[in-house]
Amino acid sequence: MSHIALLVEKLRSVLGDRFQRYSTINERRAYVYIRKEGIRDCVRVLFDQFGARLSTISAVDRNFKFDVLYHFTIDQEGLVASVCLSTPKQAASLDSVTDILPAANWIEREVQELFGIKFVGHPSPGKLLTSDDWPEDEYPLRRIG
Amino acid sequence: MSIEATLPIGPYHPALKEPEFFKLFLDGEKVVDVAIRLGYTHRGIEYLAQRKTYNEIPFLVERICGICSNVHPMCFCQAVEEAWGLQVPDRARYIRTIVGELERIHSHLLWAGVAAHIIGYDTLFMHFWRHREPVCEIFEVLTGNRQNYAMNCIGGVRRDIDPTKHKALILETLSQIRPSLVRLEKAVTEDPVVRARIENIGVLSKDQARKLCVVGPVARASGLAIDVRKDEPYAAYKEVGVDVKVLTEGDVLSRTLVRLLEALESIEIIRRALDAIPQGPIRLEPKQIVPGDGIGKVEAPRGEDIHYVRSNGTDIPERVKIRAPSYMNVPSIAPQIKGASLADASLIIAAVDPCFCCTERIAIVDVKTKRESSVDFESLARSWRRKNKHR
Repeated sequence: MSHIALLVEKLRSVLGDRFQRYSTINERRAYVYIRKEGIRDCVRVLFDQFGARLSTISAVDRNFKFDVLYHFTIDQEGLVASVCLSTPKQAASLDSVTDILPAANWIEREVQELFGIKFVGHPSPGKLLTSDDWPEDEYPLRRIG
Repeated sequence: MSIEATLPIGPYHPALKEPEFFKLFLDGEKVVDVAIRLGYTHRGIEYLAQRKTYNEIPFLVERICGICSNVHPMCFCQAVEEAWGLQVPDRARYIRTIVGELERIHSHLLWAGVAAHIIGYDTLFMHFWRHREPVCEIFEVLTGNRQNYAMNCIGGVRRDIDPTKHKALILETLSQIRPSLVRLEKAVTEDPVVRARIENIGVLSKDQARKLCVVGPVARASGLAIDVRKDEPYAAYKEVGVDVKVLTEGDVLSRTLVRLLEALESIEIIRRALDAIPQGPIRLEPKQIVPGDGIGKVEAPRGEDIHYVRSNGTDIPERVKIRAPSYMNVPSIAPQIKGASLADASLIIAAVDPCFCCTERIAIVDVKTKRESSVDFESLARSWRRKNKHR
Protein backbone atom coordinates (compact mmCIF):
# COMPACT_ATOMS: atom_id res chain seq x y z
CA MET A 1 0.00 0.00 0.00
CA SER A 2 1.42 3.35 -0.95
CA HIS A 3 1.94 5.98 1.70
CA ILE A 4 -0.77 8.19 0.22
CA ALA A 5 -3.30 5.36 0.31
CA LEU A 6 -2.35 4.62 3.91
CA LEU A 7 -2.76 8.25 4.88
CA VAL A 8 -6.09 8.58 3.10
CA GLU A 9 -7.44 5.42 4.75
CA LYS A 10 -6.44 6.66 8.18
CA LEU A 11 -8.03 10.07 7.62
CA ARG A 12 -11.18 8.48 6.24
CA SER A 13 -11.58 6.28 9.31
CA VAL A 14 -10.91 9.11 11.80
CA LEU A 15 -12.99 11.78 10.07
CA GLY A 16 -15.95 9.65 9.01
CA ASP A 17 -18.48 11.72 7.06
CA ARG A 18 -16.32 14.82 7.40
CA PHE A 19 -13.96 13.23 4.86
CA GLN A 20 -15.03 14.03 1.30
CA ARG A 21 -12.58 12.82 -1.36
CA TYR A 22 -8.95 12.91 -2.42
CA SER A 23 -6.93 13.31 -5.59
CA THR A 24 -3.27 12.98 -6.52
CA ILE A 25 -1.13 14.58 -9.20
CA ASN A 26 1.79 12.19 -8.73
CA GLU A 27 3.28 10.10 -5.90
CA ARG A 28 4.54 13.23 -4.12
CA ARG A 29 1.36 15.33 -4.10
CA ALA A 30 -1.97 14.46 -2.48
CA TYR A 31 -4.98 16.75 -2.12
CA VAL A 32 -7.42 15.62 0.58
CA TYR A 33 -10.82 17.34 0.66
CA ILE A 34 -12.58 17.48 4.01
CA ARG A 35 -15.41 19.43 5.64
CA LYS A 36 -14.12 22.28 7.72
CA GLU A 37 -15.31 20.75 11.01
CA GLY A 38 -12.71 18.00 10.61
CA ILE A 39 -9.56 20.12 10.51
CA ARG A 40 -8.54 19.73 14.16
CA ASP A 41 -8.80 15.94 14.08
CA CYS A 42 -7.04 15.93 10.75
CA VAL A 43 -4.11 17.95 12.10
CA ARG A 44 -3.81 15.64 15.14
CA VAL A 45 -3.59 12.57 12.90
CA LEU A 46 -1.07 14.10 10.52
CA PHE A 47 1.17 15.63 13.19
CA ASP A 48 1.10 12.82 15.77
CA GLN A 49 0.87 9.71 13.62
CA PHE A 50 2.49 10.63 10.32
CA GLY A 51 5.19 13.02 11.57
CA ALA A 52 3.92 15.74 9.26
CA ARG A 53 5.14 19.32 9.33
CA LEU A 54 2.89 22.27 8.53
CA SER A 55 4.54 24.04 5.61
CA THR A 56 1.96 26.76 5.14
CA ILE A 57 -1.72 27.57 4.64
CA SER A 58 -2.92 29.00 1.31
CA ALA A 59 -6.28 30.69 1.09
CA VAL A 60 -7.88 31.25 -2.31
CA ASP A 61 -10.73 33.72 -2.84
CA ARG A 62 -13.38 32.00 -4.99
CA ASN A 63 -15.86 34.91 -4.93
CA PHE A 64 -18.59 33.29 -2.79
CA LYS A 65 -16.33 31.11 -0.70
CA PHE A 66 -12.74 30.68 0.35
CA ASP A 67 -10.75 27.55 -0.45
CA VAL A 68 -8.21 27.00 2.30
CA LEU A 69 -5.35 24.55 1.78
CA TYR A 70 -3.23 23.34 4.66
CA HIS A 71 0.02 22.11 3.09
CA PHE A 72 1.56 19.38 5.26
CA THR A 73 4.97 17.99 4.40
CA ILE A 74 5.87 14.44 5.35
CA ASP A 75 9.63 14.65 4.97
CA GLN A 76 10.47 10.97 5.30
CA GLU A 77 8.27 10.19 2.31
CA GLY A 78 8.96 13.38 0.33
CA LEU A 79 5.22 13.94 0.23
CA VAL A 80 3.08 17.09 0.42
CA ALA A 81 -0.43 16.35 1.65
CA SER A 82 -2.65 19.39 1.11
CA VAL A 83 -5.79 19.32 3.22
CA CYS A 84 -8.40 21.36 1.35
CA LEU A 85 -11.56 22.80 2.85
CA SER A 86 -13.96 25.62 2.11
CA THR A 87 -15.71 28.25 4.15
CA PRO A 88 -18.42 30.62 2.92
CA LYS A 89 -17.30 34.20 2.49
CA GLN A 90 -20.07 35.57 4.71
CA ALA A 91 -18.77 35.33 8.30
CA ALA A 92 -15.85 33.17 7.20
CA SER A 93 -14.41 31.23 10.11
CA LEU A 94 -12.34 28.14 10.82
CA ASP A 95 -11.19 26.38 13.98
CA SER A 96 -7.69 27.40 15.03
CA VAL A 97 -5.14 24.58 15.28
CA THR A 98 -2.45 26.63 17.01
CA ASP A 99 -2.97 24.87 20.37
CA ILE A 100 -2.25 21.51 18.70
CA LEU A 101 0.49 22.75 16.39
CA PRO A 102 2.23 25.96 17.58
CA ALA A 103 3.72 26.50 14.11
CA ALA A 104 0.28 27.53 12.87
CA ASN A 105 0.33 30.68 15.02
CA TRP A 106 1.69 33.21 12.55
CA ILE A 107 0.28 31.43 9.51
CA GLU A 108 -3.29 31.63 10.81
CA ARG A 109 -2.88 35.24 11.82
CA GLU A 110 -1.61 36.06 8.34
CA VAL A 111 -4.62 34.42 6.67
CA GLN A 112 -6.96 36.14 9.13
CA GLU A 113 -5.43 39.51 8.41
CA LEU A 114 -5.20 39.27 4.63
CA PHE A 115 -8.45 37.43 3.86
CA GLY A 116 -10.65 38.08 6.87
CA ILE A 117 -11.14 34.41 7.76
CA LYS A 118 -11.56 34.28 11.52
CA PHE A 119 -9.66 31.53 13.33
CA VAL A 120 -11.79 30.64 16.34
CA GLY A 121 -9.79 29.84 19.46
CA HIS A 122 -6.51 31.42 18.36
CA PRO A 123 -4.54 32.32 21.51
CA SER A 124 -3.20 35.67 20.20
CA PRO A 125 -5.20 36.82 17.19
CA GLY A 126 -3.70 40.32 17.02
CA LYS A 127 -2.15 42.10 14.06
CA LEU A 128 0.92 40.53 12.54
CA LEU A 129 1.62 42.19 9.21
CA THR A 130 -0.54 45.21 8.51
CA SER A 131 0.17 48.59 10.05
CA ASP A 132 -1.52 49.72 13.25
CA ASP A 133 -3.81 52.16 11.45
CA TRP A 134 -4.97 49.68 8.81
CA PRO A 135 -8.81 49.60 8.92
CA GLU A 136 -10.35 46.62 10.72
CA ASP A 137 -12.71 45.55 7.95
CA GLU A 138 -10.32 45.82 4.99
CA TYR A 139 -8.53 42.68 3.83
CA PRO A 140 -5.74 43.26 1.31
CA LEU A 141 -5.99 39.97 -0.58
CA ARG A 142 -9.77 39.64 -0.51
CA ARG A 143 -11.52 40.38 -3.78
CA ILE A 144 -14.04 43.16 -3.63
CA GLY A 145 -17.66 42.13 -4.22
CA MET B 1 8.51 36.78 38.51
CA SER B 2 8.42 40.54 38.05
CA ILE B 3 9.47 42.05 34.78
CA GLU B 4 11.72 44.96 35.61
CA ALA B 5 12.24 46.52 32.24
CA THR B 6 11.36 46.23 28.58
CA LEU B 7 13.95 46.91 25.94
CA PRO B 8 12.92 47.66 22.37
CA ILE B 9 15.28 46.38 19.68
CA GLY B 10 14.34 47.62 16.23
CA PRO B 11 12.48 48.12 13.97
CA TYR B 12 16.02 48.38 12.62
CA HIS B 13 17.96 45.41 13.92
CA PRO B 14 21.32 46.65 15.17
CA ALA B 15 23.25 43.94 13.37
CA LEU B 16 21.23 42.95 10.33
CA LYS B 17 20.30 46.35 8.89
CA GLU B 18 16.80 45.12 8.24
CA PRO B 19 13.53 46.11 9.87
CA GLU B 20 11.84 43.91 12.43
CA PHE B 21 10.84 44.82 15.93
CA PHE B 22 11.82 42.77 18.95
CA LYS B 23 10.55 43.88 22.32
CA LEU B 24 12.57 42.16 25.01
CA PHE B 25 11.19 41.81 28.52
CA LEU B 26 14.01 41.86 31.00
CA ASP B 27 14.59 40.88 34.58
CA GLY B 28 17.94 42.53 35.23
CA GLU B 29 20.25 41.17 32.56
CA LYS B 30 18.08 38.14 31.90
CA VAL B 31 15.63 38.00 29.01
CA VAL B 32 12.25 36.82 30.29
CA ASP B 33 10.20 37.04 27.13
CA VAL B 34 10.14 38.52 23.65
CA ALA B 35 7.42 40.01 21.46
CA ILE B 36 8.11 40.07 17.71
CA ARG B 37 6.40 42.51 15.38
CA LEU B 38 6.53 42.17 11.60
CA GLY B 39 5.13 44.36 8.89
CA TYR B 40 7.74 46.99 8.23
CA THR B 41 8.73 45.98 4.71
CA HIS B 42 5.58 44.69 3.08
CA ARG B 43 5.73 45.00 -0.67
CA GLY B 44 2.51 43.27 -1.73
CA ILE B 45 4.28 40.64 -3.82
CA GLU B 46 1.49 38.03 -3.62
CA TYR B 47 -1.01 40.72 -4.57
CA LEU B 48 1.13 41.82 -7.51
CA ALA B 49 1.79 38.25 -8.63
CA GLN B 50 -1.95 37.72 -9.07
CA ARG B 51 -2.01 40.61 -11.52
CA LYS B 52 0.97 39.71 -13.71
CA THR B 53 1.50 37.13 -16.43
CA TYR B 54 3.43 33.91 -15.87
CA ASN B 55 6.41 35.24 -17.79
CA GLU B 56 6.69 38.32 -15.61
CA ILE B 57 6.36 36.66 -12.20
CA PRO B 58 9.80 34.98 -12.04
CA PHE B 59 11.36 38.45 -12.24
CA LEU B 60 9.00 39.73 -9.57
CA VAL B 61 9.58 36.91 -7.08
CA GLU B 62 13.31 37.13 -7.71
CA ARG B 63 13.10 40.45 -5.87
CA ILE B 64 11.64 38.94 -2.71
CA CYS B 65 15.13 38.42 -1.37
CA GLY B 66 18.44 39.85 -2.45
CA ILE B 67 20.48 37.03 -0.95
CA CYS B 68 18.64 33.93 -2.09
CA SER B 69 17.42 35.46 -5.32
CA ASN B 70 17.68 32.21 -7.27
CA VAL B 71 15.46 30.30 -4.87
CA HIS B 72 12.14 32.06 -5.33
CA PRO B 73 12.01 32.06 -9.15
CA MET B 74 13.18 28.44 -9.23
CA CYS B 75 10.48 27.53 -6.72
CA PHE B 76 7.79 29.42 -8.62
CA CYS B 77 8.83 27.88 -11.93
CA GLN B 78 8.74 24.40 -10.40
CA ALA B 79 5.22 25.03 -9.09
CA VAL B 80 4.03 26.18 -12.52
CA GLU B 81 5.81 23.31 -14.27
CA GLU B 82 3.99 20.90 -11.94
CA ALA B 83 0.62 22.55 -12.58
CA TRP B 84 1.15 22.50 -16.35
CA GLY B 85 2.79 19.08 -16.45
CA LEU B 86 6.10 20.24 -17.97
CA GLN B 87 9.28 18.14 -18.01
CA VAL B 88 12.31 20.41 -17.75
CA PRO B 89 15.27 19.40 -20.00
CA ASP B 90 18.09 17.57 -18.18
CA ARG B 91 20.72 20.19 -18.85
CA ALA B 92 18.48 22.89 -17.36
CA ARG B 93 18.01 20.79 -14.20
CA TYR B 94 21.78 20.57 -13.75
CA ILE B 95 22.26 24.29 -14.35
CA ARG B 96 19.60 25.03 -11.72
CA THR B 97 21.48 22.79 -9.29
CA ILE B 98 24.82 24.47 -9.91
CA VAL B 99 23.43 28.00 -9.56
CA GLY B 100 21.49 26.98 -6.44
CA GLU B 101 24.56 25.55 -4.74
CA LEU B 102 26.76 28.52 -5.65
CA GLU B 103 24.11 30.67 -4.04
CA ARG B 104 24.14 28.51 -0.91
CA ILE B 105 27.90 29.02 -0.56
CA HIS B 106 27.70 32.79 -0.81
CA SER B 107 24.65 32.98 1.47
CA HIS B 108 26.21 30.85 4.21
CA LEU B 109 29.46 32.79 4.04
CA LEU B 110 27.55 36.05 4.25
CA TRP B 111 25.76 34.82 7.37
CA ALA B 112 28.99 33.53 8.94
CA GLY B 113 30.58 36.93 8.36
CA VAL B 114 27.66 38.76 9.97
CA ALA B 115 27.76 36.38 12.95
CA ALA B 116 31.51 36.98 13.37
CA HIS B 117 30.85 40.73 13.26
CA ILE B 118 28.17 40.44 15.97
CA ILE B 119 30.49 38.64 18.35
CA GLY B 120 33.05 41.37 17.72
CA TYR B 121 35.51 39.33 15.68
CA ASP B 122 35.81 41.56 12.64
CA THR B 123 38.93 39.87 11.27
CA LEU B 124 36.96 36.67 10.85
CA PHE B 125 34.11 38.65 9.30
CA MET B 126 36.47 40.03 6.67
CA HIS B 127 37.93 36.60 5.93
CA PHE B 128 34.49 35.07 5.40
CA TRP B 129 33.44 37.86 3.08
CA ARG B 130 36.72 37.78 1.23
CA HIS B 131 35.97 34.19 0.21
CA ARG B 132 32.37 35.02 -0.62
CA GLU B 133 33.52 37.59 -3.15
CA PRO B 134 34.87 35.13 -5.79
CA VAL B 135 31.49 33.32 -5.73
CA CYS B 136 29.71 36.58 -6.57
CA GLU B 137 32.22 37.08 -9.35
CA ILE B 138 31.36 33.66 -10.78
CA PHE B 139 27.73 34.79 -10.83
CA GLU B 140 28.67 37.93 -12.70
CA VAL B 141 30.38 35.88 -15.39
CA LEU B 142 27.65 33.21 -15.56
CA THR B 143 24.58 35.41 -15.43
CA GLY B 144 25.66 39.02 -15.87
CA ASN B 145 24.70 39.92 -12.29
CA ARG B 146 26.19 39.40 -8.85
CA GLN B 147 22.68 39.17 -7.40
CA ASN B 148 19.23 38.79 -9.01
CA TYR B 149 20.58 36.44 -11.64
CA ALA B 150 17.36 35.98 -13.67
CA MET B 151 18.46 32.45 -14.54
CA ASN B 152 15.12 30.69 -14.25
CA CYS B 153 12.16 30.71 -16.55
CA ILE B 154 9.18 28.42 -16.81
CA GLY B 155 10.41 25.32 -18.63
CA GLY B 156 14.13 25.70 -17.94
CA VAL B 157 16.86 28.31 -17.60
CA ARG B 158 17.69 31.40 -19.61
CA ARG B 159 21.47 31.05 -19.94
CA ASP B 160 23.76 28.14 -20.61
CA ILE B 161 26.97 27.29 -18.78
CA ASP B 162 29.91 27.19 -21.16
CA PRO B 163 31.42 23.68 -20.89
CA THR B 164 35.01 24.89 -21.11
CA LYS B 165 35.33 28.53 -20.08
CA HIS B 166 32.71 28.69 -17.29
CA LYS B 167 33.46 25.21 -16.01
CA ALA B 168 37.16 26.00 -15.67
CA LEU B 169 36.40 29.25 -13.86
CA ILE B 170 34.01 27.60 -11.38
CA LEU B 171 36.33 24.67 -10.64
CA GLU B 172 39.36 26.89 -10.18
CA THR B 173 37.54 29.29 -7.85
CA LEU B 174 36.10 26.46 -5.78
CA SER B 175 39.48 24.78 -5.40
CA GLN B 176 40.84 28.10 -4.17
CA ILE B 177 38.18 28.78 -1.55
CA ARG B 178 37.82 25.22 -0.26
CA PRO B 179 41.02 25.06 1.84
CA SER B 180 40.25 28.52 3.21
CA LEU B 181 36.79 27.40 4.30
CA VAL B 182 38.26 24.40 6.11
CA ARG B 183 40.67 26.74 7.86
CA LEU B 184 37.89 29.17 8.80
CA GLU B 185 35.79 26.35 10.18
CA LYS B 186 38.68 25.55 12.49
CA ALA B 187 38.88 29.22 13.47
CA VAL B 188 35.31 28.91 14.71
CA THR B 189 35.51 25.54 16.43
CA GLU B 190 39.00 25.64 17.88
CA ASP B 191 39.21 29.21 19.11
CA PRO B 192 38.21 29.09 22.80
CA VAL B 193 37.00 32.70 22.81
CA VAL B 194 34.69 32.22 19.82
CA ARG B 195 33.50 28.91 21.23
CA ALA B 196 32.69 30.42 24.60
CA ARG B 197 30.58 33.03 22.88
CA ILE B 198 28.44 30.66 20.79
CA GLU B 199 28.40 27.30 22.56
CA ASN B 200 25.24 26.46 24.55
CA ILE B 201 23.68 29.76 23.54
CA GLY B 202 20.17 29.95 22.08
CA VAL B 203 19.40 26.26 22.45
CA LEU B 204 16.39 24.94 20.54
CA SER B 205 15.43 21.39 21.50
CA LYS B 206 14.41 18.81 18.93
CA ASP B 207 10.87 18.73 20.33
CA GLN B 208 10.49 22.51 20.11
CA ALA B 209 11.95 22.48 16.61
CA ARG B 210 9.36 19.93 15.52
CA LYS B 211 6.43 21.76 17.13
CA LEU B 212 7.42 25.05 15.53
CA CYS B 213 8.03 23.30 12.20
CA VAL B 214 11.36 25.08 11.72
CA VAL B 215 13.28 24.35 8.53
CA GLY B 216 16.77 24.41 7.10
CA PRO B 217 19.97 24.74 9.14
CA VAL B 218 17.97 25.69 12.26
CA ALA B 219 16.13 22.34 12.10
CA ARG B 220 19.23 20.36 11.14
CA ALA B 221 21.22 21.86 14.03
CA SER B 222 18.49 20.62 16.40
CA GLY B 223 18.65 17.04 15.17
CA LEU B 224 15.87 17.06 12.58
CA ALA B 225 17.25 15.44 9.43
CA ILE B 226 15.12 17.33 6.93
CA ASP B 227 16.34 18.70 3.62
CA VAL B 228 14.18 19.13 0.53
CA ARG B 229 17.16 18.25 -1.67
CA LYS B 230 17.25 14.80 -0.10
CA ASP B 231 13.60 14.23 0.83
CA GLU B 232 12.01 15.38 -2.37
CA PRO B 233 14.82 15.73 -4.91
CA TYR B 234 14.17 18.50 -7.41
CA ALA B 235 16.48 19.84 -10.16
CA ALA B 236 19.34 17.30 -10.49
CA TYR B 237 19.77 16.38 -6.81
CA LYS B 238 18.59 12.83 -7.35
CA GLU B 239 21.49 12.22 -9.73
CA VAL B 240 24.23 14.18 -7.96
CA GLY B 241 23.22 13.29 -4.39
CA VAL B 242 23.39 15.32 -1.17
CA ASP B 243 25.04 14.52 2.13
CA VAL B 244 22.71 16.14 4.68
CA LYS B 245 24.56 17.63 7.65
CA VAL B 246 22.76 17.07 10.94
CA LEU B 247 23.89 18.05 14.44
CA THR B 248 22.01 17.57 17.68
CA GLU B 249 23.02 20.26 20.17
CA GLY B 250 20.68 22.92 18.80
CA ASP B 251 22.82 25.89 19.88
CA VAL B 252 24.38 28.72 17.90
CA LEU B 253 27.59 26.73 17.49
CA SER B 254 25.69 23.88 15.84
CA ARG B 255 23.89 26.25 13.50
CA THR B 256 27.22 27.79 12.53
CA LEU B 257 28.79 24.39 11.92
CA VAL B 258 25.84 23.10 9.90
CA ARG B 259 26.12 26.10 7.60
CA LEU B 260 29.88 25.84 7.17
CA LEU B 261 29.72 22.08 6.51
CA GLU B 262 26.94 22.68 4.02
CA ALA B 263 29.03 25.25 2.19
CA LEU B 264 31.77 22.62 1.86
CA GLU B 265 29.24 20.03 0.71
CA SER B 266 27.93 22.50 -1.87
CA ILE B 267 31.41 22.63 -3.40
CA GLU B 268 31.33 18.84 -3.83
CA ILE B 269 27.82 18.96 -5.30
CA ILE B 270 28.86 21.55 -7.87
CA ARG B 271 31.90 19.46 -8.85
CA ARG B 272 29.75 16.35 -9.31
CA ALA B 273 27.12 18.29 -11.26
CA LEU B 274 29.74 19.83 -13.57
CA ASP B 275 31.15 16.37 -14.24
CA ALA B 276 27.80 14.81 -15.03
CA ILE B 277 26.00 17.64 -16.84
CA PRO B 278 24.48 16.29 -20.07
CA GLN B 279 24.34 18.08 -23.42
CA GLY B 280 21.05 19.26 -24.81
CA PRO B 281 18.52 22.09 -24.79
CA ILE B 282 18.23 24.34 -21.73
CA ARG B 283 14.66 25.43 -22.16
CA LEU B 284 11.32 24.00 -23.10
CA GLU B 285 8.77 26.32 -24.64
CA PRO B 286 5.43 25.79 -22.88
CA LYS B 287 2.72 25.11 -25.47
CA GLN B 288 -0.40 25.87 -23.45
CA ILE B 289 -1.56 26.99 -20.03
CA VAL B 290 -3.21 24.14 -18.22
CA PRO B 291 -5.60 24.76 -15.29
CA GLY B 292 -4.58 23.07 -12.07
CA ASP B 293 -2.64 23.28 -8.82
CA GLY B 294 1.12 23.15 -8.45
CA ILE B 295 3.45 23.17 -5.46
CA GLY B 296 7.12 24.06 -5.82
CA LYS B 297 9.63 23.28 -3.10
CA VAL B 298 13.27 24.30 -2.95
CA GLU B 299 15.85 24.02 -0.19
CA ALA B 300 16.92 27.64 0.16
CA PRO B 301 20.07 28.43 2.17
CA ARG B 302 17.70 29.18 5.08
CA GLY B 303 15.49 26.12 4.62
CA GLU B 304 12.44 24.93 2.75
CA ASP B 305 10.87 27.50 0.45
CA ILE B 306 7.40 26.65 -0.82
CA HIS B 307 5.27 28.23 -3.52
CA TYR B 308 1.69 27.26 -4.30
CA VAL B 309 0.24 28.25 -7.66
CA ARG B 310 -3.32 27.80 -8.84
CA SER B 311 -3.66 28.13 -12.59
CA ASN B 312 -7.11 28.81 -14.06
CA GLY B 313 -6.17 28.52 -17.72
CA THR B 314 -5.61 32.24 -18.30
CA ASP B 315 -2.17 33.83 -18.54
CA ILE B 316 -2.52 35.26 -15.03
CA PRO B 317 -2.47 32.88 -12.05
CA GLU B 318 -5.53 32.70 -9.82
CA ARG B 319 -3.41 32.48 -6.69
CA VAL B 320 0.27 32.59 -5.85
CA LYS B 321 1.15 31.76 -2.26
CA ILE B 322 4.73 32.22 -1.14
CA ARG B 323 6.16 30.98 2.13
CA ALA B 324 9.82 31.72 2.65
CA PRO B 325 11.88 29.74 5.19
CA SER B 326 12.46 32.58 7.65
CA TYR B 327 8.72 32.78 8.26
CA MET B 328 8.93 29.43 10.06
CA ASN B 329 12.30 30.09 11.70
CA VAL B 330 11.78 33.54 13.23
CA PRO B 331 9.14 32.38 15.78
CA SER B 332 11.71 29.89 17.13
CA ILE B 333 13.65 32.87 18.49
CA ALA B 334 11.18 33.10 21.40
CA PRO B 335 12.01 29.74 23.09
CA GLN B 336 15.72 30.26 22.33
CA ILE B 337 15.96 33.70 23.85
CA LYS B 338 14.04 33.08 27.08
CA GLY B 339 16.50 32.86 29.94
CA ALA B 340 19.40 34.11 27.85
CA SER B 341 21.58 37.05 28.83
CA LEU B 342 20.84 40.35 27.14
CA ALA B 343 24.33 40.38 25.65
CA ASP B 344 23.52 37.22 23.68
CA ALA B 345 20.15 38.41 22.39
CA SER B 346 21.49 39.98 19.22
CA LEU B 347 23.47 36.88 18.32
CA ILE B 348 20.53 34.55 19.00
CA ILE B 349 18.26 36.63 16.77
CA ALA B 350 20.89 36.61 14.04
CA ALA B 351 21.64 32.90 14.38
CA VAL B 352 18.40 31.77 12.76
CA ASP B 353 19.63 33.78 9.76
CA PRO B 354 16.38 35.70 9.61
CA CYS B 355 15.71 37.17 6.22
CA PHE B 356 13.17 39.87 6.84
CA CYS B 357 12.67 40.58 3.15
CA CYS B 358 11.49 37.01 2.86
CA THR B 359 9.24 37.09 5.89
CA GLU B 360 7.44 40.22 4.87
CA ARG B 361 6.21 40.23 1.38
CA ILE B 362 2.42 40.28 1.28
CA ALA B 363 -0.28 42.97 1.47
CA ILE B 364 -0.91 46.68 1.43
CA VAL B 365 -1.69 48.20 -1.90
CA ASP B 366 -4.70 50.09 -3.29
CA VAL B 367 -7.68 51.22 -1.15
CA LYS B 368 -7.71 54.84 -2.24
CA THR B 369 -10.78 55.70 -0.25
CA LYS B 370 -9.24 54.63 3.03
CA ARG B 371 -6.02 56.45 2.50
CA GLU B 372 -7.08 59.48 4.49
CA SER B 373 -7.05 57.45 7.64
CA SER B 374 -3.51 56.16 7.14
CA VAL B 375 -2.04 59.43 8.13
CA ASP B 376 1.55 60.40 8.36
CA PHE B 377 3.27 58.77 5.43
CA GLU B 378 0.68 59.84 2.92
CA SER B 379 0.45 63.42 4.14
CA LEU B 380 4.21 63.54 4.02
CA ALA B 381 4.15 62.35 0.41
CA ARG B 382 1.42 64.89 -0.43
CA SER B 383 3.36 67.77 0.99
CA TRP B 384 6.42 66.61 -0.92
CA ARG B 385 4.42 66.56 -4.15
CA ARG B 386 3.01 70.02 -3.46
CA LYS B 387 6.43 71.35 -2.82
CA ASN B 388 7.88 69.87 -6.00
CA LYS B 389 4.96 70.68 -8.29
CA HIS B 390 6.81 73.34 -10.21
CA ARG B 391 9.93 71.34 -10.89
